[in-house]
Amino acid sequence: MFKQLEKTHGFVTPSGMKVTILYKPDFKQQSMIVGVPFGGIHSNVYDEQHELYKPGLAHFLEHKLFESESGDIMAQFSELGAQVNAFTSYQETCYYFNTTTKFKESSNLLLDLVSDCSLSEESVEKEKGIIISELSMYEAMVDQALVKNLYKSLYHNHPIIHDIGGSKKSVTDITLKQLMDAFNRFYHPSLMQCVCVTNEPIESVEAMILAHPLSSNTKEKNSVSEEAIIEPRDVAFKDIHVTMDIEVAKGVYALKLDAHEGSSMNNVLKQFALRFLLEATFSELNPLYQEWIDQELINDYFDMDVDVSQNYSYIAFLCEHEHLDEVFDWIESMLKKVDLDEVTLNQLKRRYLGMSLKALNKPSSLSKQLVRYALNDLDFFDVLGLFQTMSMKDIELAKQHILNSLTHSSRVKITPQAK
Amino acid sequence: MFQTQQIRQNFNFHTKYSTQFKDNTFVFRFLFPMTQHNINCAQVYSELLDDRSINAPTKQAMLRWMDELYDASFGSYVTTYGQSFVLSVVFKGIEGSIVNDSEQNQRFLSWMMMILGGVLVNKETLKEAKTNVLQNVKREQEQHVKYALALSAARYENTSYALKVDGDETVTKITLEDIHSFKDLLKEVACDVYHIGQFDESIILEELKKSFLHQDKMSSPTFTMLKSEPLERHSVQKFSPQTVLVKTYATNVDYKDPRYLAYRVAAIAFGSLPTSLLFTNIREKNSLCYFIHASVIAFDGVMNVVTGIESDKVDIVSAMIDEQFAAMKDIEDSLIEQAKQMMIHSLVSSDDDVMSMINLHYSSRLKDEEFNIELITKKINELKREQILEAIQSSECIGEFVLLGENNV
Repeated sequence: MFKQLEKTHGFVTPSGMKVTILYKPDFKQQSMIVGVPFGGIHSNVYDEQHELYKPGLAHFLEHKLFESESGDIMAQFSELGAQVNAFTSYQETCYYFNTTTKFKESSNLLLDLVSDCSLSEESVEKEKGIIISELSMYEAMVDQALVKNLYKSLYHNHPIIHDIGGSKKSVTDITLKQLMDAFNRFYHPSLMQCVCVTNEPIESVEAMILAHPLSSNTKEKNSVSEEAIIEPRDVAFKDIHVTMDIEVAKGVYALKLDAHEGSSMNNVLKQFALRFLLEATFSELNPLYQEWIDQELINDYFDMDVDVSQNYSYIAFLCEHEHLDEVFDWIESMLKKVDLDEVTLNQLKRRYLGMSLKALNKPSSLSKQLVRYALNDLDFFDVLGLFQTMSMKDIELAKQHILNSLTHSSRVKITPQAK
Repeated sequence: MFQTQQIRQNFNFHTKYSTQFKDNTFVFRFLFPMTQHNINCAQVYSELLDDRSINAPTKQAMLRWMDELYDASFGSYVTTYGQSFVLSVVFKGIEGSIVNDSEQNQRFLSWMMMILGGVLVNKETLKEAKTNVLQNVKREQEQHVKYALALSAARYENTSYALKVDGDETVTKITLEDIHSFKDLLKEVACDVYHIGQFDESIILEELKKSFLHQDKMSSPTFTMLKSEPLERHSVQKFSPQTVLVKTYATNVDYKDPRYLAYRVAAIAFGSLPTSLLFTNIREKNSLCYFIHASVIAFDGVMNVVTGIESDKVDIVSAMIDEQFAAMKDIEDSLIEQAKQMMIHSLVSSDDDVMSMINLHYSSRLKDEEFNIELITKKINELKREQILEAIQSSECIGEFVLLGENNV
């Protein structure tokens, strides 16, 4: 259904870069996003000296790629009337711009940006102060602290325990050599995914991309050698308690789920099934929800998160309460009773249909979703329709999955610092 | 652009037929005189509105209704406009033709009008709403930049700029009578209704005419200019790894001033671009911060420069901001051109985003101006260097606030 609503065209350049063009003739804004499969999680990769990458390397490289021998690349985008930016997540780094004019010039500039990396020792050293200031900003945010401690509590060895930006120490230790090693290893066109949202004819955009040197670049691809992630079944810490300058205590209760070796699509289906189960049990869909609010067990901060990936999976509950253990005990008891009937399943399917249709309204955020799913070998439009195929059997499997993981739980508490 | 129809005095309906989006959006904007009591009531009312309704008296029933309408959604929020504030209520529903459901649009419209007119106000819902507002007020103190800006604004006592838009602790004193009075006021204040999508406008008009909103309404003044003698630097300590510095400028160029567009271009070149003077010289050349930006609060006549720094760098960074402000007189033409292009980009992009379209149109109406992107673009392109520099030079720094991080605690 979703594919029929949008006009897309996909192709692969001679250099191996995979490109998707989304034609949006009604929209003034045009955009391009290029993603590389190198993110915060890749601190288990060995460099050519067989040393592990420092945590924060992908994010550091993202900062430095905006430097170019041909001058200030930010200024060049601004002169073209384009807004350029980038982000690093756990799995990938993405560079993008949006513009209402001179789309092709800006596209060429973005493809130039990811094609080349020319750095000096001096500029690498100077960037460290900026990144450390960025880390301080995140360190002051309670929500960031909750996520950081959630991963720390669940995992012993998985690289997700390191912040995407690294630590002040790892950033200080990053060298020019390691940045160049990462660029040469991961910024190969055959690893890149490119998505364009345009109101120009698809053929002319394709021709423009094919004419860029990155499309015909035949440089050799370096292999990637990774340290195997051996992650025990049990959680790393049952309880973590830290203090911050906050007004009300906040916490996360989490279950570490078995890692999933299945296909990416299968994992997405499992994620949907778990989410539906939790929605049915812990949201307003449950008639008891009002009682929990009235008893001040939960408030409007209460939230849930589900992540099912190939090498890590968990469900987590965010809460705000003076006595967090009371809430955690209640979550634990409710998890033993998770359930969903067929009527509610159909209600949720109808909701997700509306949500998915709304996702098509914003081409700029749509392009980010397209590129991130493509980097995981998934077609975003197939994912949008996946929940329609969900059956009560999938729900039952998800339920068993939760019940089998109940002993692998962790509790993170962040309480107000004494003033 | 929008077609506007006046329904009653200060009660207008603006509609834009569009197939660009997969849904229909409705926004109701109520313009209230700015007092802390009114803001507190609006915040509580907003919570009540977003919760249950007379026709769906439980959260479960409300959610079922919304899911039946393919994830119909609604929400309300408060924004300030100088001496007034606006309570906006936004409704979104999937367009019926997209899901081949011929009854979807009419059911969505009925649902929306029932929510708007049927807010469930009783002792229980009021208690829950007040708790939510109070918790939001507390959480604001945990967001350091937001908190620093609020504390900085609070220093300009007896001005609308100083009022707390998220509400304050006195929200606990709000009674059922206060909320009923606020609901009466809601019927009396200026109201603008926006629609973007494929709905038949005559059907919407009919609904509005038979709704509780259908009466003449009073207007409320908006623009103001912050006037203050320069205040001494003031610091508040916080256990945090980062210090937030806020420098406040009185723009002395209000929203109706012919120099306003020139001022906006100057402010972008000063601190809203990745090539701006502040970003280039304080972040890129000296690595003193990760973020630094200048933002204009047009209806209050204020520009704030905000940055996150180390606690022992406050004096250095503050002096550098002053230097860059002085350096605006020597700004390169290429930077001015970039600022113009970014402002134009932002204007043209608004056509792709329903809320941006509505915000820009609404602000123009408050200014009694027609909103015309092409005309504004032309005006921006015609701005001369001297006009841009002259506009920003009318600003003066009137205060400095520091939320001091842990190194100095």
